[in-house]
Amino acid sequence: MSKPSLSELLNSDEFTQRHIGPNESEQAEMLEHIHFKSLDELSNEILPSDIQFSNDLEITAPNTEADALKELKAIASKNKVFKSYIGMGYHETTVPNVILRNVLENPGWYTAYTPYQPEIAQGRLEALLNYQQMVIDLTGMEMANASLLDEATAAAEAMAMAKRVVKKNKSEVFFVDSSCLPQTIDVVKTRASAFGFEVVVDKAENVADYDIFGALFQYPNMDGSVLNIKELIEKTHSLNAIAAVATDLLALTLLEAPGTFGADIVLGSAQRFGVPMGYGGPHAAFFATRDQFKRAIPGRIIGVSIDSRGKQALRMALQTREQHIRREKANSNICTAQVLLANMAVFYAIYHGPKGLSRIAQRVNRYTSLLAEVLTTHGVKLSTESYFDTLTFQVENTANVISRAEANGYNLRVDSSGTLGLSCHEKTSLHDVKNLASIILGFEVEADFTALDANLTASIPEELTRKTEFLTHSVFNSHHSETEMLRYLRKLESRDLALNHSMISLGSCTMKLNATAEMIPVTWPEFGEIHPFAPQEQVLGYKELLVDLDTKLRAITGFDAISLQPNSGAQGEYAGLLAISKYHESRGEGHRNICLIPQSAHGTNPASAQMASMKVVVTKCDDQGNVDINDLKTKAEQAGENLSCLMITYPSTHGVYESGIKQICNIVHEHGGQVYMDGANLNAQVGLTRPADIGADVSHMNLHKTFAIPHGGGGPGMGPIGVKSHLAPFLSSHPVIPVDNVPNDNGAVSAAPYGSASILPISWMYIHMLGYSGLKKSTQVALLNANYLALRLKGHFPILYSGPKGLVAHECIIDLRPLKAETGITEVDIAKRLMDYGFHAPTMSFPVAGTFMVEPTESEPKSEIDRFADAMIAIRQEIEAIRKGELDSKDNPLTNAPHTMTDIIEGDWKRSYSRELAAFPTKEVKAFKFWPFVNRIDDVYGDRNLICTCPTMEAYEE
Amino acid sequence: MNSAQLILTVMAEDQPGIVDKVSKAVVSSGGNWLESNMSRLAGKFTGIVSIECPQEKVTDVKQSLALLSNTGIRVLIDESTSQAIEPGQLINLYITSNDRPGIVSEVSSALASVGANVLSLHTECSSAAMSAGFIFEAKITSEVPLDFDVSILTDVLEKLSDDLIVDIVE
Ligand SMILES: Cc1ncc(COP(=O)(O)O)c(C=O)c1O
Repeated sequence: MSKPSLSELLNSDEFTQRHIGPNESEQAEMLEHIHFKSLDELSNEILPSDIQFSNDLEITAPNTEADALKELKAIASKNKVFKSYIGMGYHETTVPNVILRNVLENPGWYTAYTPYQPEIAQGRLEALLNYQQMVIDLTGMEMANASLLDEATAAAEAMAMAKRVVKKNKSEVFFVDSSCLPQTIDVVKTRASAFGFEVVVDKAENVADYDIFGALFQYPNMDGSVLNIKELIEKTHSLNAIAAVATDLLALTLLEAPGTFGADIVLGSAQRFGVPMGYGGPHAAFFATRDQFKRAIPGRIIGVSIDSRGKQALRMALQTREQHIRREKANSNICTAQVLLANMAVFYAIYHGPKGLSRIAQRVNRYTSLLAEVLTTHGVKLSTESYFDTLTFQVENTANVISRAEANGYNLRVDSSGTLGLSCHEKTSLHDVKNLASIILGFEVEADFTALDANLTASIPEELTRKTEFLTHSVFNSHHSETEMLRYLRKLESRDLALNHSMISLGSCTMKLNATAEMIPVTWPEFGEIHPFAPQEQVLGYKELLVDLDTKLRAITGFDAISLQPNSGAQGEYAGLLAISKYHESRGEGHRNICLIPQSAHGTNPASAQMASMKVVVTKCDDQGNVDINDLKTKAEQAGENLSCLMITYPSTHGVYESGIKQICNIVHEHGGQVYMDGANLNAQVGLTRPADIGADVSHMNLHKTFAIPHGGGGPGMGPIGVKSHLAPFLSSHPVIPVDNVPNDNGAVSAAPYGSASILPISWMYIHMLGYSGLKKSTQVALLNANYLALRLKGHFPILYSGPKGLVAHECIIDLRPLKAETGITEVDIAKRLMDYGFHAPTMSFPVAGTFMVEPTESEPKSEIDRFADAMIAIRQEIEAIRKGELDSKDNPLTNAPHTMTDIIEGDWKRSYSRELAAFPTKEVKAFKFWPFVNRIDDVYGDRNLICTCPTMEAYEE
Repeated sequence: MNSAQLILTVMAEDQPGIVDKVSKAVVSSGGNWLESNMSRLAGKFTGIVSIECPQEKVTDVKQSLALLSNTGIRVLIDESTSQAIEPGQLINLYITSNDRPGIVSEVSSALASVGANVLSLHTECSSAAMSAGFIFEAKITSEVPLDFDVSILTDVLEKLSDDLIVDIVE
C-alpha cells in the first residue's frame, strides 16, 4: 500500500463526501450510464455556454465538521448573553427539554416537508390542529390558521384581510394604535404603501376620529398598559370597520379573550411559548378570526376530514384560498411558514397545560407587580396604571440606569424620549426583581417581598380579567408527566415520513441533507438567547456571522448587496419587488407597474406581485416549457413604459437551463424593466453560473433549499435577496435596529432586522464545511443524480422537458397524463401508491398539471435513487397490468392506495390482489416498513364540512 | 300558450350517445332544446341544458328524463323562476372550488334561485399544483336587473360550500 500524504490523512473535505450521496466510484458508474466521463464534462454540456462561470471563487476551503464547529463557536462566543428585559414582542422562555431534544433537535420533525401528502403527515397535522385549538381558545375566536411568519407580518395580513372583508366601506385608511410595537407599525406601513392605503398612527382612544376600514390595537400595549379593548372594538365597529387586536398568548391566560369583546382578527407571536428568541427568529405568528371570514384568512388551515374507511383524518383545508391555486387572486403569498415553531409552541402548551400556563403568567405578573411596588414606594412614577408584564417609567438619569443594568448583565429598553421600559418573563426570579429594583433606584434595595406580596393589588382591571375557560380539550390536560409527553411526541412523529426514512424527491423544494453538524449551533445559547434589539456590542458574534454570510452569498451570486431580512422565498419576492418599484419611482417612473410572469411560474410570484400592487401579465411557454421569447417580446412592447419587471425562475420550473435566458433579460432591460430571478433553483447554479452575471437585477435565495436549512414540516425558512448596486438603496430597513447602508425610511418587511437569524448558522456551516469546491461539486452531483434518475425512468414514463441535448437540469418532469388517459389511473393514485413503497411522492402537478416533478438532490445515494426508480417502474408495471385487464380497473393496488395496517389485518380479504402486494411490494419494504396512518383522505368532504378544531379524544381513538 | 323553462343538469359515466339520449327524452315528451353546455369533468360527463316546454307538459318531460337513470344518466331538473328578463347589468363571476360531481348544477341552480340569468358559463377542472386535488374553476357572465345587489350572488354561491370562493371581476 502506498503511503498516503498528510493532507490525505487530514481529509479536510470529509464533509463533502458525507453531504454528497454517491461516492466517487458510484459517480463514475452513473456518469458512464448517461455517457459522460466527468462531472465537469456533464455540467459543461448541460449549461448554456454563454452563462458558464469558470472562475474559482476563493470563498472558503473545505473544513471538517469539528473544525467548522470550532470556528463557529469562536464566533458565537463573541455574543454576550444578557438577561433580557427588552420585551417588545420577544421574551426569554424555557424550552422544555423534552421538546428541545425530541422536536427541535429531532430530524423526524425538522426534515419533513409541508404536509401536501396528508396520509403520511398525520403527526404534524395533529400537532398543528392542536395549535389552532390553542390559538382559538386563548384568543376566543372561532378559527385560526396554522401560522404566519411573525407578529408584524401577521398585522400586515390583518390589514389586507380587513380590506377584503369589510363590506360597503370605501375608506382606504387603516388605523394603528400608536402604542403598537414599532416593528409592527413599520411593517404595516410598508405593506400599506404598496397597496396604496393610508396608515394613521394615533392614540387608541382617538380611533373614532377617522374614517377607516380597519384598526389595529395592541393588548397589552407597548407601554405595558392593558387598554379596555372592549370599548376600542365597539368604537371601531361603530365606524363599520374591522377591529384587529395584536396580543400575547401568555397574557391571555390572565386577560379576557379579545374574541369575547367582539374582535374580528386577533394575532401575535407564539415565541414566548417555548421558542428561543434567536436574535429575531424563527418563531410562529398566530392569526385568528371569525368563521364568517374563513375564505379571507391568509395562510394554511388544518381541517378535519375522513379517509376512505370513514376514519377521521386531517389535511390542509380550504386550499382554494392559497397562492398555488389562486395565484394573483390569492389572499396572500405565504408558502413556507413556521410549522416547526408552531409545533414547539403548542407542545409547550400541552406540556404545561392550562394550569401550568396560568401559573407561569401569574408568576410573571406577580414579579412585575412586586417590582412596581418597590419602585413606586421609592417615588418612581409608572406610566401606566394597569400592566401584565411590562413597566414603563421615567428616571432622572437614564444613562446611569442603563449602564448599571449592563454592568449587572441586564438589558432594559429605552425609547427616544428617554422613557425606560422592562418586561418580566418566564425566567424572571425574585433575585432578578431585587437586582432590577437596585439597578433602577441606584442603591441596594432591601424589601420584605413576602409581606409586600400579601398586600399587592391587582394590576389587571377587573373587567379585563380572564373569565372564560381555555385549553379544556383533553390533549392539553393529559401529557403532564415527561413519560407521557415523550410518548405523545414519539407517537405523532411515527406517523410522519421525513428525510430520516427515505428520499423526498420534491421538485423545486430541494430536500437535501440537513446535516447534524449544521443543526447543532442552532441551540447554542450564544445564538438562541439573544434579543433582536440587544445592544450592538453584545451581538458582535452575530455581526461577524452576518457579514461573513453576506460576503459568501455575494460571491456565489455575483450580486452587490444582500438583505438578510426576508423570512421566506415568498417574502424575498415581495421585498425584491418593492425595491424594484422604489427604484422606478426614484427615477420618476413610478408608473411602471406591469409585472410579466411566465405561465410556468410558482404561485408565489403572481401573489407577491399583487402584494406589491403590480399588474400581472402572463407570458406563454413554448412546447419545450421555455419562455416563449416572441410572446415575451410582444408583451414587453405592449407594456412599454409601464413595464416594471419580469419574474423568472432559473433554471426554469420545468427543470431546464433555458438557453435564451440572456436574451430574455436583455429584452426586459431594453424596455426599461428589471429582472427578478426567483432563486428557488439556485442550487442548480452555485459554482456553475451566477444570477447577477446572467442578467438578474434581484433574486431571492431560499436558504432552506439551496443552503441546507431544514424545511421543518412547512417552515422555518430564510429568503434573503441579492441585488445589483442600483437597487441596493431600496432594500428593507428596520425601525429599531438600523440596517447598514440602508436608508431608515425604506420600511421593513419583517419584524426582526435579520429575519430568522438563529438559523443562519446552518447555512454558514454548510458553506464552510463544503468549501467552494464542495459547493460546486454538490451542484454537479445534483445534475448527475437528476439525469441518472431521468434516464432510469425514461423507458417507462415520458420525461416532459429537456434541454437541447436531451439532458435535464437538477430536476425533471414525468408526464403521467398519457397513462391516465389510457387507464384512468391518476397522478394521485401513483402518489398514494408510492407510500406503500415507503416513499413520499414528488411534487405534483407543478408546474404542469398531471405530472410529477422529481428532484433527487445531490445528497441521495445511488442506492436510494435506484430504489425509487425501481418503485416507480414496479408501479408502472402494475398500471400495465390494469391496462391489460390482469388487474381490475376499480379494485387494484393503485386506486386503493395507500394501504394501512387496518386494511391488511382485515379478516375477510376480498380484493383482487394479495395482501403482500398491497403492503409489502418489495423486499426493502419488508425489511423497513412505513405504515401510512390513514387511508386515502377525502378532501372534498372536509371542505364541505369545515372543522378546524380538535375533535374529541374518542374520535381519535375510533 | 304558457311555457315553462327548465334547467337540466346531466350527469353520467362517460359513454357514447349521452346527448342523443337526453335530447330524445326531451323532444319525445314535448320539450324544446334551447341551449346547452357539455363537457367531461373528472372522468364524468356533465352537461347543463336549458329547455322550454308548455306548462302542461312539465310532468311528462320530468318523467321522461327520470327514466334515463336506468341507463346511468342522472338528470337534475330545476324550474327557472325568472320572468321575462328586463335589460339588466352584466356581472362577471369567477368561481374557484374543489371539484365534486354536480358542482355545475349546484352553481347554476344557485344562480337561478336568485334570478340571475347565466349568459355564458365556462368551466375547467384541473389537478391543483402541489396537492393535486381537483379544482373547479368557472367563468360566468350573468345578467341581473339593474338595481340588483351584486353581493347576493356571492352570498348565495358561497353558501354552497366553505371552499367555494367567488370573485366579482370588474
Ligand atoms: C419556484 C418557487 N418559487 C418560490 C417559492 C416560495 O418560497 P418559500 O416557500 O420559501 O416562500 C418556491 C417554494 O416552494 C418555489 O418552488
